[in-house]
Amino acid sequence: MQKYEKLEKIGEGTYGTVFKAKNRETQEIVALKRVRLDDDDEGVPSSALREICLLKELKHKNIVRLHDVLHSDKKLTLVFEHCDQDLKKYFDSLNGEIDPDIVKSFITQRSNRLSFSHCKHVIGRQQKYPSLALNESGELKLADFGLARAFGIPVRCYSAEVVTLWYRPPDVLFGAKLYNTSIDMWSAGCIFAVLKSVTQILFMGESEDEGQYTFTVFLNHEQSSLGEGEGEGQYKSTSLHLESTVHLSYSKYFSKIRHRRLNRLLICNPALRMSAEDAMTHSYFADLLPSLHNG
Amino acid sequence: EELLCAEPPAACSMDGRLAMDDQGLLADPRVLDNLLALQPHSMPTQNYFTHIQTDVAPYMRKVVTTWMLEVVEEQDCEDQVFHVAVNFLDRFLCTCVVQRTQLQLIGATCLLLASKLRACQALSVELLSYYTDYSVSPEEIKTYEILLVSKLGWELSPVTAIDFVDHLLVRVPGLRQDPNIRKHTT
Repeated sequence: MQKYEKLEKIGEGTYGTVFKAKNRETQEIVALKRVRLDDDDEGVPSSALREICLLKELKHKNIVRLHDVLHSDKKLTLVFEHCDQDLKKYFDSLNGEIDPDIVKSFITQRSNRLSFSHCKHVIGRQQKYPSLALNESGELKLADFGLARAFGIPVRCYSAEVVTLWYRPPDVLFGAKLYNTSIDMWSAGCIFAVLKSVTQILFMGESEDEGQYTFTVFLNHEQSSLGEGEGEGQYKSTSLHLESTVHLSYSKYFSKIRHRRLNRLLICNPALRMSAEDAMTHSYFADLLPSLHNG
Repeated sequence: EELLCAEPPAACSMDGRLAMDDQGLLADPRVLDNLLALQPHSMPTQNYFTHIQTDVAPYMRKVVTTWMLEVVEEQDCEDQVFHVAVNFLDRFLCTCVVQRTQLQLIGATCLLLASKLRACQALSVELLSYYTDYSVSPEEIKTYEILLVSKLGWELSPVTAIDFVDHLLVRVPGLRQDPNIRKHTT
């Protein structure tokens, strides 16, 4: 720990405090994430184990780089590449105005990263915009892998309490435990909607019940306007009821953010949802610089 | 009218049920390519019985891995847990000399790590200690956990044989229809 000089507290991560620090030798600025190892628990938390070993595998310019893991008495310290701000702070500084090209650039970088990690056998389960960090050159980095896991196959029952509530897909929200890469794509759709409308959260709910209620409204709107086909899979929409008053106010909002690409990400049946790979080849990105495509 | 639940009790608990196939993975040749490319990096670097270990003989590996298999079977762990744990054991034994008396402690630690990484519900240190007849304490397992992860360089997502099963099944016509084939591969 003598190697780094602590500068300031940045925030609280999934399992500990995050500090900004400086490497005393190279003067490099890094982020230190501390994981406490308590006597009375089960050793190294599985979220920390998974985050570390996945980050060691996922070396990509849109994924925050893990430089080192230090072990000292009763704690682990993860040394990360430092990013200046997260997407939320960036949005707050914009006052509701965002350049459509910047939206496109961000979405490309995100899809690029998702496609990369999905083909490396990693499912994120934690797509939310405060987890997306930005460096000074506008590069987007995925920063929080605390809930990620390598989905070795067969995919068996995972925890349903994954993905920050507002970005949780309906199949998982209603209790599906047998999900796959499609859950990250739902979250991607939510973030895309947030980017398009700047600062509006798409599905806000303080509890799982409330989240389910919001979806019920959304789904009914979705089904009446799109006539989405029934597919196989475990997602059932039978428990959903229409609440006409709320329905009206939401439908106005949804038509505003409706977008061709969004429609294919925010599809309730996970089997029909677009993959990260398909998302990358969508015509929305056709006019983008090739350098962003191949990153 | 009386309510009737047609679902058998076993299907109500999620155990043993499989998710629907993820075409994003199985249909994408890059996943299989990546698995093939990563597999050599997951292998033990040498034959540790001849080059590293002095006290540990091949039959002792058999004893400890048989014990590990019994634990995961009794706890009904995901299939991958055992494969990953044995991979950790072999790779750890390539890195440092151990005494035969430490083997069960190392095996228990490998199970702890593998279950944290690959199972929905990790095995507890207390339970693992119980399976050693308390010859290994929970504290020892936790101490060795740190030792193991650092000796393994935090490279904790090995590609093992079981990762290939579904990719092979979708590529050989006719095999998928027979559920016994998948069962016999694990």
